[in-house]
Amino acid sequence: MRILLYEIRKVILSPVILALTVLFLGFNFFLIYENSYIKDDLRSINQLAHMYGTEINAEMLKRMQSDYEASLEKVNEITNSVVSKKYQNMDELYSDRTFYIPEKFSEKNIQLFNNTALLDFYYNNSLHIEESFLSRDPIKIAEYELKVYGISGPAAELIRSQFDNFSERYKEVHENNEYKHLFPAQSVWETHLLLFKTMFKALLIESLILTVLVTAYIMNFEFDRGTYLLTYSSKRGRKLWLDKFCASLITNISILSILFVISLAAYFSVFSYKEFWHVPISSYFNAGKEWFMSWWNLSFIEYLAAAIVLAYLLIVLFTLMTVVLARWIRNSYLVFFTFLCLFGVIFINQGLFPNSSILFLLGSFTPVHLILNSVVWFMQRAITFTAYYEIITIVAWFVILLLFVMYCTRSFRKCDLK
Amino acid sequence: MLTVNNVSKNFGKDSVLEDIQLEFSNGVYGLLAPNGAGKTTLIKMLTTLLYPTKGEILFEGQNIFSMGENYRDLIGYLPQAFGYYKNYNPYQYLQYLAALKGISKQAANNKIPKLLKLVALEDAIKKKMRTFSGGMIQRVGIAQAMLNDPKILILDEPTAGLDPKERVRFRNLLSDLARDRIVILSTHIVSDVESIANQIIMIKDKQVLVKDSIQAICQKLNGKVFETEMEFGQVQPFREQYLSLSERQENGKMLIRYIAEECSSPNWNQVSPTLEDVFLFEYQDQVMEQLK
Repeated sequence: MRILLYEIRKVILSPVILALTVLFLGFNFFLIYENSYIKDDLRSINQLAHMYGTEINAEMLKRMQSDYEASLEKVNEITNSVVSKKYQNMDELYSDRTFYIPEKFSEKNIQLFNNTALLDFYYNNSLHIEESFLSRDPIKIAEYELKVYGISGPAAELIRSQFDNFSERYKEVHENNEYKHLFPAQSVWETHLLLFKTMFKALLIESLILTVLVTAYIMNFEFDRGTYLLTYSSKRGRKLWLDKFCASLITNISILSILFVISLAAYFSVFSYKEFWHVPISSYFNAGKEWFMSWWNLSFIEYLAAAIVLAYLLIVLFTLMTVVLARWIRNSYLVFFTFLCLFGVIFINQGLFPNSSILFLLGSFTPVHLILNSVVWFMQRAITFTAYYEIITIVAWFVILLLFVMYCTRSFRKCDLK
Repeated sequence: MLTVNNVSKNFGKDSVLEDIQLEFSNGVYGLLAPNGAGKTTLIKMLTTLLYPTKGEILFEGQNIFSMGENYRDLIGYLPQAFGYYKNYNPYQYLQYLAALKGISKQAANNKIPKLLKLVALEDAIKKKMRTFSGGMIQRVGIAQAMLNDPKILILDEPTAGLDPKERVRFRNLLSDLARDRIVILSTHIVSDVESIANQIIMIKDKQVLVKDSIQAICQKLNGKVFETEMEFGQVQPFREQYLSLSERQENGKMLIRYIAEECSSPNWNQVSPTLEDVFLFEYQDQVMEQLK
């Protein structure tokens, strides 16, 4: 335990790691700040959800309708007295080019217009949510994806063989009304993209950079400083390599935790999800340009937790990968650049296979593809074709990398340290 | 007892050591050979950093590689290239090494100040090692080698960077330590071992050339070492005929120490051979090569 703490201490005191962690946190704050213009809208949506509940049903629609009509009437009273006009709905009002003369309306009036418009949007979309949901055919979307990626032959057949599962899940979402919940609309505010693409991608790439640097730094610390003859001939001997491996894992997990806790705390304090923690992630309001229907019935908080767990597992995988490289390359900077090359090679591996090959599909079952596509984790997609894409990728790479690490441990124990 | 049993070491196709047979019991052993003769390779095998290609190394009859940490617990090692952490002070650095040597924090806290005092670094205990001179770094190295009170102390070129006063201090320290442990001191500087080694081991052509006391080794050149004075102009033809061991100017002439099979002139004074004479005699080819 004492040795482990000494190893961790080495990296904690590294100015490069400290500076990068602070820099990355600053960047995450900037991303939140840059998108903070939607925070007031999100607060209003939360208020709406608080008033009507998040489950869309007949009673809720009735209450919404009556409130909407009353609100629209108030809006028309105001517009009638100021610009002598009345509107059928808020769309018509905002489309009227002669309407928007801010000086003519008080702040309170504009607030009323905005709230009514929001109610209008949610009421109308909720009212037609079933039609909209049914108009989306998961098989058609999957076929479209096949066309976009140019997938044909056995690869396309493999994907098509999973279409029953696609339809079954779609039916399940329909039957259990998972889709019938209020949620910040993806088509307008793109919160799913903001959280799981912009924020998560930034967090994952930052953690990845730190993971590789930290692991290479700890594993090669003695070789970089010429102290390996002393440390590996001490009583602890080559077991120190395992201590360093554990220290890398602990440090990487801690850094990931620091980045996630601080950044997500800042995110959720700016963008309120107060009413939506338990709303299914497959709510139809979460469908924008892309189809965000999860393979499992997960609430937003469950989905977020699963994504965080997956992020941790990925960081562990990349730690293992770097440990294997550091076994053979005894310079931390060389390890970093070799890792970047390896990352690139894994990313472009699909280019080695024809689009009709099953290997082309399997080529996306890598931690590199996973880390770059956090926005679609656990979501139904043709290219990843199975509900267990994330699990298969993680387990397979764990097994492979663990075998490599075991081999490296054994080979390091038996190698000559010149 | 530490036994090196028919050990050979190859790096790829290159053979570095062949059939090394040695035994060590308590006392100081001077491992004397020119650079590149395989001293460091032998030492790295004794410290389990390198594995023998052939043969075995035994401590009290057990293979040191099978003994693992039980063996390494018995050794103290100062490598030739002694790395250190620039941003640590000697106290922090020794604390870390103490942890690796399985010494409890409390025991290390008691021992480290004493060891640093022993190597005259008590005033620099909290100074960052990046500010240290080569000699100070080497003294930290000596202190760390003694942290675990080793039964086998292995020192590879330990006096590099030490000033003459520190060398004397260091030799005295080793003589004290050697009473109840094995001290193996590798060097190519004869004076480092001349006054303290119980036995000298010389390696030549990948094999042990000699392992004996200094007296016995010097006996080899008995009656063959001479000194004479000559004019400067005579020096060059003389060098071509005899192996010159040392030359110095004295009274406007050159005083030469050299090796000859027999006394050929009444002006030649036979002198007692020293370890350095034997070293230069045995490694004359390598020494000449290095001088070129």
